[in-house]
Amino acid sequence: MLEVTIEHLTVEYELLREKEILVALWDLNLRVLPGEFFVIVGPSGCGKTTFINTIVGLVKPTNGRVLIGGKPVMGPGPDRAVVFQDYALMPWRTVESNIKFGLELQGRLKGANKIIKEVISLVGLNGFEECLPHELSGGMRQRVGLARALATEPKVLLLDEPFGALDAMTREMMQSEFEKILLRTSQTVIFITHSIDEAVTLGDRIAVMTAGPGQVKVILNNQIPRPRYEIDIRNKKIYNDLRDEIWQLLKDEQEAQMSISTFE
Amino acid sequence: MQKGASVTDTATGVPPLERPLPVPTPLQAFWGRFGPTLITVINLSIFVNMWQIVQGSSDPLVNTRWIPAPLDIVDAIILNIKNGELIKHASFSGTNYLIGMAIAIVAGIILGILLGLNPIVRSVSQAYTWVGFCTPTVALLPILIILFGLGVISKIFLVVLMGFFPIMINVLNGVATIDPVLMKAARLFGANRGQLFRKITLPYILPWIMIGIRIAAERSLGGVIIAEIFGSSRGLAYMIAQETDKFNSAGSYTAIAALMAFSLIVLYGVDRVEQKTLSWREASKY
Repeated sequence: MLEVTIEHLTVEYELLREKEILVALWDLNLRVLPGEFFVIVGPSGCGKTTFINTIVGLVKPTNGRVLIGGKPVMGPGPDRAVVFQDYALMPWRTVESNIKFGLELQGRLKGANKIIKEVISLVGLNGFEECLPHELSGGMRQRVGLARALATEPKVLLLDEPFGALDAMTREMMQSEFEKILLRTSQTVIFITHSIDEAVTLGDRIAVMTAGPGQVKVILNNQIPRPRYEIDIRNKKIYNDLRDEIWQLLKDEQEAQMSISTFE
Repeated sequence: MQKGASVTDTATGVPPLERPLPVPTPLQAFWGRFGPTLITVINLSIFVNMWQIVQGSSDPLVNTRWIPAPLDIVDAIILNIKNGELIKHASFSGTNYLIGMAIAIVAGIILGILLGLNPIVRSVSQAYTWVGFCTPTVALLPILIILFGLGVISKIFLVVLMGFFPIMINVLNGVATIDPVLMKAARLFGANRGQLFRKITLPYILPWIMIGIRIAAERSLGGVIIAEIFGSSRGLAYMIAQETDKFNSAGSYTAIAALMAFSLIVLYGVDRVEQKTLSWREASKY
C-alpha cells in the first residue's frame, strides 16, 4: 500500500506529421491515498491512457512529477502492475504460465508456484491452468490479466478500462467479482473507465476528468457502503444521485468538446 | 415477481447443457480411426494394380522404356539397394541438402530478425532482399559453377540461395507484426532487452519461421536436383540422368522414388513441428 502523488503533471506529444504539439495532460494534481480504490472517469480523449503510461513510467512527463510512496517514478518497477483493456496475454502461454510471466521477468521464481496457486483460486481460475488464452471467454481472460498483475504483489494496481472489451452482462458480473477480489487484497487501486456505472459501483473516490487537455475537474466521495456486490445498489437513491451528478459533469465536458470541434 | 414485467411462459423439460455422446459401435470406432488411411491404401492399390496390368502385359500400352511396370521398379529398387548405388547417391544428395538447408535456416532467421528489429537496416536493405527474393535463383547456377567449380560447394550454395530468402522474408514479416501491447506488458513487468527478445519476439515469430522453412524445404530440394543434373558425378538426380541415358527407366524411377520419399520425410517433419508451434497462432485469430 503506497500513496500516489501527482504534482503539476503536464504531458505533451509532438505530432510531427500534423506539425503540432498535443497537450494530453495539463497541470494535473492528485493524491491517491494508500489502499484506496480510486476511479478516474472521463470522456474519450481526455488523456486517460497517457495518465496510466506516465504513472507506470513508460511516458516521461514534460513537466511535473509522479511520486509513488514519496519516491519519484523513473521507469517501470515491480511496485506497480497493470491490467490492460485488451488483456495483453501471451497467446502461446497457458493460463498458469501467463500468470507466472511477471514473476519470471522480475526473477522471483522462488516460491512462485505457491503464489500462482493462491492467485488462481483468488480469481476463480481453478481447473483452467492448462488452457490457452484463446480457449477462454473475454471475462476469463481478464481474470488471467488480473491474476498476472496480482501475482507480482504490487503496491499500486492500475486498471486501464479492464472491462471495455466485454459485453454488458459479463461486465456487470466482473465488476462485482473484481470488487470482491480487490477488497481481499491490500493495495492502492487506480481504476480508469469511461463507464459511470462502473465508477459508482467500484470507487471509494471518483475523479471526473475534463475533456482535454486532461485535468481533474472534480473529485467525488462515494458514500455507498461496502461491500457493494452484496446489495442491489442500482436501485438505491444514493447510487442514482451520484450517477446523475457524474453524468451531468461529463455531459458538460462532452458539450464543451463538441462546441470546440464545431468551431474548428 | 418483478415490477413492470409479467411472466407469460416458463421453460420446462429442458435437457442438461452437456451430456455424453453415445458410445460408438466397434465398427464406427474402427472406421473413425482407420477409415481415411484405408481409403488411401485401397485407392492407391487400385491405381498401381491397373498400372501393373497395363504395363506388365506382353503388349504394354506405352513402351516400357519410358514407363516400366511397378514390379520392375520394385526389382530395380531392391537391386540398387543391394549393390549400394542408391545409398551412395542418396547420401550425396541428402548431405548437400541438409548442409545447405541448415545454413539457410540459421542465416535466414538471424538476418530476418536483424532486419525486422532495426528499421534503418531494413530500409537500406529492402531493395536487395526483394531483388534476391524475385531472382529466379536457378538461373545463377552457371555463374555459381564458374565461381565454385563443379564440386559440392556450388551445389550447396544453390541450396542455400533457394532456401534463404523465403525464410528471411517470413521472419522479417513476423517480427514486424509483433503485437505492441505484448511488448508494452512485458516492459511494464520490468523486462530488459534480452528478456523482450527471448520471451516475446522469439516465441512470437516461431510460426513464421516454420512457414519459411516449409517453403524453403521444397524450393531447396529443387535446387539439389537442378545442380546435379547440370554437372555432377554423384547424387540422385545424376542417377536419374544416367539411367535414362542407358534407357533403364526402372533405374530412373528408383531415384525418383527415393526423392519422393525424401520430400515426404522432410514435409512430415516440418508438419509435426509446425503443428506444435502453430496451434495458438491459427486458433488465436479471434
